[in-house]
Amino acid sequence: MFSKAYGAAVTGIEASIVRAEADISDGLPAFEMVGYLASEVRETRERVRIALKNSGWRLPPKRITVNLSPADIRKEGTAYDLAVAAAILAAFEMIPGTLLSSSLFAGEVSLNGAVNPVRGILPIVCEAKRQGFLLCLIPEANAAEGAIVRGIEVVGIRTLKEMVSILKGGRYEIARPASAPGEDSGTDQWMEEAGDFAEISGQQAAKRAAEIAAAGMHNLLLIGPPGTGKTMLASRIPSILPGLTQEESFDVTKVYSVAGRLKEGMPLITRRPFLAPHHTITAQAMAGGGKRPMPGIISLAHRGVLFLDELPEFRREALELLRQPMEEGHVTIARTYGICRYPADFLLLAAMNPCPCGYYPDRTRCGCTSGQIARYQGRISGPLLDRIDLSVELSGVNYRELAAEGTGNESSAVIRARVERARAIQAERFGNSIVRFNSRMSQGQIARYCAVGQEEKELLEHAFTRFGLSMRAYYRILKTARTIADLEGSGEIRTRHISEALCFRVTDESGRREGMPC
Amino acid sequence: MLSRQEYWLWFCNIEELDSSRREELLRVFGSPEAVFRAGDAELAALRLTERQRNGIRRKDREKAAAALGEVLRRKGIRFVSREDEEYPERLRHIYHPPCGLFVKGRLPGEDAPAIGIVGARTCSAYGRELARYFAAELSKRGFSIISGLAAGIDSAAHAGALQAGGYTAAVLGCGTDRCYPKENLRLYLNIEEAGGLISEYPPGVPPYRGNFPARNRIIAGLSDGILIPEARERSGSLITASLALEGGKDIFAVPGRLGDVLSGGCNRLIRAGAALVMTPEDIVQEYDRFFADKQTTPDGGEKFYNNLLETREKIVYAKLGLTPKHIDELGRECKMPFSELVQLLLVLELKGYVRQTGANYYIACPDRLLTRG
Repeated sequence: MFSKAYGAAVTGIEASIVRAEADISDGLPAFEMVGYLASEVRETRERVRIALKNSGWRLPPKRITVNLSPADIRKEGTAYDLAVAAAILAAFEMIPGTLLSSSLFAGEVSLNGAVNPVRGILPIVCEAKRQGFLLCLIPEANAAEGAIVRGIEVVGIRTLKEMVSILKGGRYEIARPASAPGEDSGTDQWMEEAGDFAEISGQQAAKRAAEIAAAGMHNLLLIGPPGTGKTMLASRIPSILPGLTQEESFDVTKVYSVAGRLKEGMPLITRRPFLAPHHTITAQAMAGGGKRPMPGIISLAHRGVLFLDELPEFRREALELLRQPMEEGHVTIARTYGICRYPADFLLLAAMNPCPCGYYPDRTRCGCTSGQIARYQGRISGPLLDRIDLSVELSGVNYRELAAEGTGNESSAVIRARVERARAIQAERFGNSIVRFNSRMSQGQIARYCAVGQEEKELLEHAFTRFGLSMRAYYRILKTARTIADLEGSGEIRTRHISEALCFRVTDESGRREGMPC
Repeated sequence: MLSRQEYWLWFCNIEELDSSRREELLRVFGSPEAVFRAGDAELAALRLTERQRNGIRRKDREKAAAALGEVLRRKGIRFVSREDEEYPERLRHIYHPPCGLFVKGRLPGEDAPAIGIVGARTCSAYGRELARYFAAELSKRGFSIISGLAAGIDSAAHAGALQAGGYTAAVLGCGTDRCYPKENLRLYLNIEEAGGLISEYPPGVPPYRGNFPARNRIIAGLSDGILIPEARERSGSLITASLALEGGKDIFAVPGRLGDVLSGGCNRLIRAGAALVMTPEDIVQEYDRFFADKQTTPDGGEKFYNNLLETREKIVYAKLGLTPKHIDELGRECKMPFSELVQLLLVLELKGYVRQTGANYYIACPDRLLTRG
């Protein structure tokens, strides 16, 4: 007797449907599994056999063959257990096969028949819905996560017995999402945790740069001596970013689902990720990978903020691999068993001291030689700097500013309102294009949306020669000026917008050097 | 058999000898050739160590001298011995003048006044700007600028002179075929082309610590006056200054605020009698004798800034000095919205009135600033 049940394989953050086919033949009693299986999938055989026995089904001594099809994609993980169990039970005609063709199974079983949670439930349920399945049977612990997807019945089960009862036509209860998507229940609370811009005294320039960065998703480099509030500023940037849209929230949750990082009771990620890895992070942890590929830090920061404090202290390889994601919005990882792609579209915030001791250009405190300073700053490669649109140097805060603390500083909510307005203008501008932010504009789009008048052209030309800008820097300034104009609600880019963009331009290492240009 | 020139080259290339030893040998024997021919007994009569004697009596010395000549030709380095006419007149009168100089580029002119500009390696933006400004202004008036290619003040002085199209000489503490510190490579190449790289050490000699005090005596020797824009109280620049003073040269120092570590050396020099300098003119007038027959009026009249700056621009400009100021601080002082300030600063920068020393730190360009009063 032959039967089949459906499961799903996850590659990257996308799932594809896998058929578990079971066949019962006469012959010496055996249990074979085929279909390009990783070792943990091969072990499904033992788990399922014993779990079935312990749940009260004695399998007759027959030759059982299970094939996971399509047989040419690598099967990894433990989520196939349920599908295999269902296929076998159906093949023995212990359960009716009626529901099997419209149901999808994902879950790991224990030897005692309990069903354990697995990673990647969200992409699996999404794919099931897309493929027209009507019912998803998933572990109870993952139920809230799967239930986020509307338009498909998602049922959380605790044991194999429960699964069988449902397949036999028993009653079941559809899982409810802990919080409905779109309702940003936790948002306000965590905003408070993150802190508010009103708490930052002084630092007008840096706050302004942060606002521009948030409005156009421009990568930002903060430079300043220790204790000037680089980290304080960076950690507050999520509070001026617009909340996640439902679509964005889904994208982010998928990554966390695949990474197994969803917390219980928080099935849907509703806050923008803010990731601040330590500078000892390895390239692999940054990009993701491993024998069984997993999303790295940059993918966990998808649609959010990646904050790299002490930028020059990071390993060179870890920084260099940021280049592809910063350009393309995703990272591609090639492994023996294939290639997988994780999204990684983040706002890069980097912070660094101006020199090894941190106090340059204050020569009363800094004794670093120009060579040391150049070497320190030179640790950040040109190609990486090329992908950063804004840089700002923070000044030491003096007492007058400190004393004025909390008075007259704009709150995050006020700034966020401006950012949201600029975002709305961008959304209208780019319409259905894959580009969504000014910082991601292509050459063609720059030519179209960043047209400037005669006066502005002259200013740009003058600045171009005076500051020795590269072509790339020139386009970065135009893109930034576009965002500044959007923040103001101005349709055209004016000289004041260009001036501001130039003020925040990234000067490369040789420009920042103490030695003279000659 | 070596030529006269080759004997001098050989003599300068004996690494075991220092300048006082060389001086003594020349006094006793009269010429490098005589030293070369001196026997063991004659050398033994002098208080030389065995190492030094062996250095002089090396077996392959003739071949080595010829090989060195070949290296010089290949690297485009000229050797100027004390006997040569080209040898700088100013150096003949110092204590222990170098026996010979290795030169890439040109030696400073005899009839142009020469100012040595030295100071702190880890200098502030203030010192750097001053060094550059004084070097440029003096260059325009026909001065040679002498310095030591070190980081900080030295580099700024060289760069200022080159910018103004003047002559500048870098006296090195290593062979002239080496660039030390290496981040000054561009400067090094430009000086070779438009000025001169000078050293008493043969090619290939690394920048030993001990070479630098000896290098300083040449800087002092080649200059008619020494200008110190910024130096700490305990600084190599003060050694250069005292060497210059012994040689009867003028000492100029730019005053600084009390408590400013980097101006401590300058202030001390002024108290000890150095000339206090506020403008390049203060130096120029000391050297009238060089310009007796020439018109010395500079291409002055730089007081046009009042006509060129708009009122709002002046408000910003007036708040700037030679100490870098952060844009936030300027914004507070000028009481201006950020977007306007940014615009004004850019205009000022493009007009050449202000400059950024680091991202978002601004100073007034000294050439405008010091003439605005």
